[in-house]
Amino acid sequence: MSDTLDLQPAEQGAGEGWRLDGDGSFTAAPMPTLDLLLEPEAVQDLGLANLLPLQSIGLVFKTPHDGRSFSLARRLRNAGFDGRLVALGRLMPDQARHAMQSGFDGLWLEQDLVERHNEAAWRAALDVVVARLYSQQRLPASLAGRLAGPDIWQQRSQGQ
Amino acid sequence: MYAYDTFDQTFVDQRAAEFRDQINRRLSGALSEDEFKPLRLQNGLYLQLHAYMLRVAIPYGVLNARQLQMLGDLADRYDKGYGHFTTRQNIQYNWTKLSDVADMIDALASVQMHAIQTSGNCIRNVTTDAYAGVAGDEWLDPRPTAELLRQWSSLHPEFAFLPRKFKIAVLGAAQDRAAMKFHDIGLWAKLDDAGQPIYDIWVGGGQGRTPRVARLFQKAVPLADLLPTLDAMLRVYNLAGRRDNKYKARIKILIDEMGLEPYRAAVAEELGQIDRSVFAPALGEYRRIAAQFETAQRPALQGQKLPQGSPAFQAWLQQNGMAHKVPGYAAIAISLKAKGAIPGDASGAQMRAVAALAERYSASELRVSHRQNLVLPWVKLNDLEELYHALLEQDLAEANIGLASDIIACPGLDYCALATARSIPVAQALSHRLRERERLQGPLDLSLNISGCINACGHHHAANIGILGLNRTETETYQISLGGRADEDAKVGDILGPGFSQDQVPEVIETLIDTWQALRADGEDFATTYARVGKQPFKEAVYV
Repeated sequence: MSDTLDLQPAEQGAGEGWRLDGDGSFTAAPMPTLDLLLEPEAVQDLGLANLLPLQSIGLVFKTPHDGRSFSLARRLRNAGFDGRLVALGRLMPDQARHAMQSGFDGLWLEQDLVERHNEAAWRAALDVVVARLYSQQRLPASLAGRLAGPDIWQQRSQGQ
Repeated sequence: MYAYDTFDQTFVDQRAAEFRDQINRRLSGALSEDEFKPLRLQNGLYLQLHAYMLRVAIPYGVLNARQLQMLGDLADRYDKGYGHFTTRQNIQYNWTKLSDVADMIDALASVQMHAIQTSGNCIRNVTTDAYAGVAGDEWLDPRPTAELLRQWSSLHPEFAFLPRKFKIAVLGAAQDRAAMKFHDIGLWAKLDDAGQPIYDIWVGGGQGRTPRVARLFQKAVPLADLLPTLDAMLRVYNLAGRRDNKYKARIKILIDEMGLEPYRAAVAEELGQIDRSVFAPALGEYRRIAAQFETAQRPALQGQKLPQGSPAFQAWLQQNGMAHKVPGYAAIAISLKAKGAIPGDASGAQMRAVAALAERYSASELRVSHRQNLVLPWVKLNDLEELYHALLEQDLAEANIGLASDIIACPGLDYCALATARSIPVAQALSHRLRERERLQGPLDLSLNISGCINACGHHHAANIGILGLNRTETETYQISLGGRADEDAKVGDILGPGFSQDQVPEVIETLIDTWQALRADGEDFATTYARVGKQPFKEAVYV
């Protein structure tokens, strides 16, 4: 693990796509400007402390089957990262809730992926049916709508 | 037993609706098969050789009569009249149509059941002792812990796409009746000096092509630290577990390659970062769940006596009965291993019949054991003889629990897309021979398990006599292993030598049993004899 990190801004603004935010808004947008874009393998070599001062980090999902970036997001949030966390790559609409509940602020999706699942499915991605988990780790402040709010155990303990 | 409140019911109803939508998107083509696969697997839906297979969760193997009746109805309505009870205490239907699955899930939700996380690379159905809450050697009822874990792991956002499946078992007794040390994580619950739950955590057990007995990760973890510790253990695994080769993706391989101490250090570092406040409600939740199980316990009964009955009744009671922790009761296992039967299979009619017996004789409660049998946990001693005769009428009074003919077998090549050999016909042929031998010679005290491929769903590694079906140059070959055991002294069996053809297997098994009987000291079981004499005499007897 390196003590210092030469942070290069990720390749920005390349490619058209869409952003899905924690409030459920879904808008056409170029790739966001991020301080760092990370693939899961790279993180093993980075000191977590080096990442905490950043304003924004993008975590890449190479396939919908690879859930490492969900845990990376949670690890960053647990360590105190309070900047913007964006999920990029091969996600499905069904995984948007996993991303938000793991600590992401939003997703950025390439045009082909949006077309693949159709725009309506992405617009509805955060109108999830199962909105309340039994035990929910801390959610990003940007999250609004059905996913925000206390989990089942909290509600039970409060007699709701 | 645990009963859903409004939150639980809403959760499974919503999940059923969500899965209906996912199925509709697959049927319309909006989801490709590759995209649908992890979604369907997380809801227990496999694509097998001939049809979709739906695996239904029976959390920690506990059922009520109404639920078993529904499982029987589903077998008749959506399958070919059968269900197959599995080694994870679940049930699976091998002939379901994709277009029927959403209706099946709705029907299950109506009786507080679901298929959540019965497959997929996520935390699977938590298993435990089929005699939990009633076993005489129990320190702590493991079911509240298992239910707490069920809730915590259900739709867990971070651990839904792990490197590989993840299996947890919980025990609370001196004897391991859940193969705990063959799990990714095993929890052995005990009580501290103040009578509070503490857990020995074992990690890295598993079967498959690289069998491993779990290693002790940490002793005496208090309940308050249990979920934070599991959370940290899973996160380290999710990030560091291998994803380049699915056969090397289980946590046992991570522990092998990383080493137990470095893994412990990584988990400790992770634990240091965790926000423990999110787990704070778990303590109250545990107490709420435990209270439900305590309320369902029954007080000691006066005036109950073990009946005399016929010799056949006595033999059945001796073999299938278990001493109960509450005076006046017995726990009775119902064997799904009749002579020539498919291990773990039950017809819809049988399920409904057993449900009716549970209602009448066992406080409407049942269990599924990891050896693919059923258990009636609350039978009054005075009712035993009547129950025996009722089971006889249903052909469900086979007195072979824990014997050689109580065979564990996976579905094998008759159903499974992964299998390389058939296991069902091998099990049936052996069942005929062994049951006959038990009739003539008395109980054969050994375990015999059969897997149809190296994935080891039939637990062959953990059997006194294990049989593994392989396909060598288009011919099914069966490799024998000896000396495995799934109890608290868990051990992986030793491969005996070159494999045998399907036709040879029954003769070979009988030779192995002959050898054991010739070598054993008075009253010695197979595992003890094997531990004493080793592989050589068995090898010499078989490879002449």
